[in-house]
Amino acid sequence: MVSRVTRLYGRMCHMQGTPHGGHEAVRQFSLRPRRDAVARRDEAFGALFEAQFDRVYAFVRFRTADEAAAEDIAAEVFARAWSKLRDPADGDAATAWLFTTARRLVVDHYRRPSTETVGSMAESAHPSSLSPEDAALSSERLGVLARCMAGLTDREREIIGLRFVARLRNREIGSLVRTSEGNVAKILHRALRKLRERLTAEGYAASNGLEE
Amino acid sequence: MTNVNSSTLDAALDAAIESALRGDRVAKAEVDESELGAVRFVANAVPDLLPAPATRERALRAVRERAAVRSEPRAWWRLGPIMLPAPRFRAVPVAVVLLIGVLVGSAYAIPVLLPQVFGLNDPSAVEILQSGRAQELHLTQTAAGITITADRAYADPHRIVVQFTVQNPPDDPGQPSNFGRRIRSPLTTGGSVTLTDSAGHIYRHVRGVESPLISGASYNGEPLVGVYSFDASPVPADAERVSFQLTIAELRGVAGSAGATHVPGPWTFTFAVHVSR
Repeated sequence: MVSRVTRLYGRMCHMQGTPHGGHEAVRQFSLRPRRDAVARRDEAFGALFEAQFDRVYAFVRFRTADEAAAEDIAAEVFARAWSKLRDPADGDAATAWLFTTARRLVVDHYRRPSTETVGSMAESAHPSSLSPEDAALSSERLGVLARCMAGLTDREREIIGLRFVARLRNREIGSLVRTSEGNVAKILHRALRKLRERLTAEGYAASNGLEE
Repeated sequence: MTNVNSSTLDAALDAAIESALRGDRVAKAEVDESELGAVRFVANAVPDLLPAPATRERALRAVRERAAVRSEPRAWWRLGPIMLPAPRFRAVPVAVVLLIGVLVGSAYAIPVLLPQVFGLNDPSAVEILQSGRAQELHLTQTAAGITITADRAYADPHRIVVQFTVQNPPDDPGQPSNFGRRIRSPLTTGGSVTLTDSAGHIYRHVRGVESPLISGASYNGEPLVGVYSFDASPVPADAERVSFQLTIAELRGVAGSAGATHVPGPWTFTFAVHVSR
């Protein structure tokens, strides 16, 4: 009981930003194994955040076309991971857990009233590090992408997002969306053909980076 | 349906997507030209979706805040103010509290059990104690290795009743064993029970009985239960509550029994009792 109190108190201090508060609390009770376990989990979670946050954020932004919602949902995914993910160091399982949770939260986001559509993706703010020219190009590219993606089915949009933005392999996508790896490949083929047709219709050809 | 050709195409598209995402050149030979163009366009757009450093920092702060807030209800059982857990686990502490309440309540609901002989000797005292009108005391005193507990007391304008228990009468090495079982001396307070109040009044002992014998004795180490009644005439007429001092001066073996012991006390209990009218 005391050891669990210590561990949770340590976690809370750590999460609340108390400088070394958690570790001090643990040291007082001389529970080295617990302290090591807490420290290992902290490190693993930090590494998971560093490795996966950008992918989760980008995937959610791709799906919601809303930068604020993407930030909020991605933070929520990791907050839930902190309390529910058993082993943040288990790379594949942790990645699958993150994107499963992200997909669910995106669905919840769409169920809420006054949700923006995919067409507003280009209106989102851009990283301040971009030059005005790059920002304009980025905005244009996202705008075209959003318009072209609007012609795809939701399943096709999701699989494009999981493959290109989340960078999951077809086998992992199949597990997430509960279909076979071969079916994921078929959907990708179909979606990319549709996308190309729409890009051509938009006037995007060799001069706009479609061709090498 | 997936055949060899489609598998090859899938693998080629997969490789092309990986190359495009890495920013490498993509060979056109095995991939449909239209698909390859779309692959390049989407791959080029992906960096535009990535968060700015400030976004990442804000999100990390939000993660910390949310995790800290959510970890508090999980520690509902820790020391300090009690916080209920999440709703789906809320039934657990409630059930525990109810269970404790039932157990404690049922313990107090059990009637006071006294040997039948008490009813013969002092029926009104037994009625008072068993009706639950007496005030629970549970005061304990230990002297000479013997613990005596003042269990409950009752006062009204006519009488005062006190019940006590001698928990561990002393061993008596002078007694023989009976089929391997140690026999102990009969033990009694020998009438050494006195009751006074805070004003110095001494209450007259009108009736007393101790188990298991009417004469007041305990064999074989059973707890000795005593019920004493006192004349309440010294209690002031308008007193609502009186402070008493119960003293058991000594314990001794029954006169004439072999190996009789004498254990000097005293065991003293101070308590206040509401006067029932």
